[in-house]
Amino acid sequence: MVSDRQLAANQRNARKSTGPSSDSGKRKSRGNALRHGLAISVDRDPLLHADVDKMSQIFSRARNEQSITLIAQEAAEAEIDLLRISKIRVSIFEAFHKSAKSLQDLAQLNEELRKLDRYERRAFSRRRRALNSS
Amino acid sequence: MSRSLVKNSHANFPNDLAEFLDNPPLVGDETIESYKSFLWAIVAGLNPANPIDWLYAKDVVDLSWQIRRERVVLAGIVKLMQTEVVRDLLKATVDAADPLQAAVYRIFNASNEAQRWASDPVARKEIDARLTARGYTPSSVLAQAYIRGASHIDAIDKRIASYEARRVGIVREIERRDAKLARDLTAASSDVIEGEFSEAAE
Repeated sequence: MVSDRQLAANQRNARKSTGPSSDSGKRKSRGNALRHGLAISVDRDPLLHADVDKMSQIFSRARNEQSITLIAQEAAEAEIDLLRISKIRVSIFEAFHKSAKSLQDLAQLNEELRKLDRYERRAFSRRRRALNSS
Repeated sequence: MSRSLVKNSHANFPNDLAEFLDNPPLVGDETIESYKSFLWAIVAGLNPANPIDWLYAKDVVDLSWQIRRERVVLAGIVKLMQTEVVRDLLKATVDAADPLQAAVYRIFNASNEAQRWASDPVARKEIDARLTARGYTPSSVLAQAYIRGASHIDAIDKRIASYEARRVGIVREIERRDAKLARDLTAASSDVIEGEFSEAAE
């Protein structure tokens, strides 16, 4: 059990925190945002629900379906994921282009794109599977 | 680019897809004109009949664009590594009679000379000749640069292979319906990867 004094000290210390200050800390922090952003699947992100609904309707119409099917929804979720990944890739490359393009910058670019590529391959496969199912 | 594809830079995405596809994934000095010219050339060749075809066309364009971008990064890495190799060779082979002069050269001048090698063709020729006389030809410098940057180069090669596999996968999907169209798309998108598109579009 944390005492009131300890709790107050913890809260005071937390308020002093302004995030990472070193370059390597900031780089790591950016990586966390990327990892956490993509780890949330599209269907669990409320900000993307409207986009998934619209894309599901588009896929359903393209497949001559009367209403939105599970297959159309799966394809839509994968497509929205691909669009989301594309935007992240652009921001990663933008950061690289604005950097000194040193070996350290390059290593960071490679590492971030390696993670992104894994998500993208999965999203492509999901969309292909959904669109090829009858 | 494929002669069978017609440039149509005034076309638009269908209304329902426009909000998703209207933001070109451009970086640095890539121009929207080049991207759109390529996109609409592919669209004109594919003549998408439904939204799924539109998405496939956009994917082929974006993956081809991405492969070209990665190759530019790759060329930059090789150049960076070559510059480092030249700097280190200049340091290692300095032949000043005075040890103090040699030390000064290693500390202050070698890096500057390597930068001149990278940016000035005349200086490059002169430094290449000097290094060749010391047993290091331009091709051996290039080989050392590849060895030094192997891990980075390998990472980019893997990404390019991954984009290529996806592009081929999409073309196969299109091929199931129209083999000739798939061939035209492959040819057109290969041209942009090889960097021929900007000249062809002008």
